[in-house]
Amino acid sequence: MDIQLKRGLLDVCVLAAIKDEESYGYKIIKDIKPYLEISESTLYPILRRLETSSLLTVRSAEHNGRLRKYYRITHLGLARLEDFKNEWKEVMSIYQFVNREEKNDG
Amino acid sequence: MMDKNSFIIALREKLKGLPTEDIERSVEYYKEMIDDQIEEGIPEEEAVSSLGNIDDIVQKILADTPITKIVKDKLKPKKDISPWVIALLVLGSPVWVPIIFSIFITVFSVYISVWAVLISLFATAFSLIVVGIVGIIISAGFFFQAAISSGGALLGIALALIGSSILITVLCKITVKLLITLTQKSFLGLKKLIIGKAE
Repeated sequence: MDIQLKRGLLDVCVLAAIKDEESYGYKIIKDIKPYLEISESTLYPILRRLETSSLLTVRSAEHNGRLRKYYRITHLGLARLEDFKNEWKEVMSIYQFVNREEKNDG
Repeated sequence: MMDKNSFIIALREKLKGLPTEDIERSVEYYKEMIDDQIEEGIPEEEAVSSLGNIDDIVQKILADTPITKIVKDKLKPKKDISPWVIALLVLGSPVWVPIIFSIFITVFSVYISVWAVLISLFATAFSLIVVGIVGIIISAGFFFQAAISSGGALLGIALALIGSSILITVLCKITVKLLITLTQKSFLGLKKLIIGKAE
């Protein structure tokens, strides 16, 4: 896939992975993997960026005697997902147009 | 094959020079990744190697840390600086401040002029194409009036101009891509230099 396209999609994927409930790093990767290849080292800067843009919040919680970071989506993050869905409605209708069946003549 | 502790120690070592909070945050993140995999039953060494090449990891962290943050952190005095040093720096500032500033300005203007040259080359290529097309049209006119040799000469020149234009455009596009890559690498190199890991 085109690198720039993938980069933009990864941000949205991460947000989508946490849109219904908070999640943690490793689980986010597992949830996204069927859709897009993502490695631990790729996810880290994405999470950082989303946090500094206030699209998600982070909290530390205890899990099995160690600390785990949980990421929760914010209102801004949900709005970003809405924007994405609207943008892609247009893309999908263009796709239908590109992919339409040839009309039979006669 | 590395175990978790060696990986973390190596990571801390390679991140040395970055702001402490960035180092700790990254270390916590990768510790968590390894622990979560172990919890799922993945053996420790496999979990560590699944993270990939440690230098790539460090590179990504470095690339993502804003250069302004690195500089600011470097400028913060970690130990107490002797008042003599401070006095010297202040008194000497009319000397070293303009020097540093002019070095920076010089590098920056050279960089800007390279881009300016590229832009003018693109403009040149564009005008060559326009002239070439006009030349073709005029040579057609000559051919119609049976002025074959004039028409032929003009057509040849027009095609040569168009050819040169295409060549210039291709070379400029390649140069632009190289320049962008060079700029990114320079920023990365600059960050490394500031945190004391010049290669």
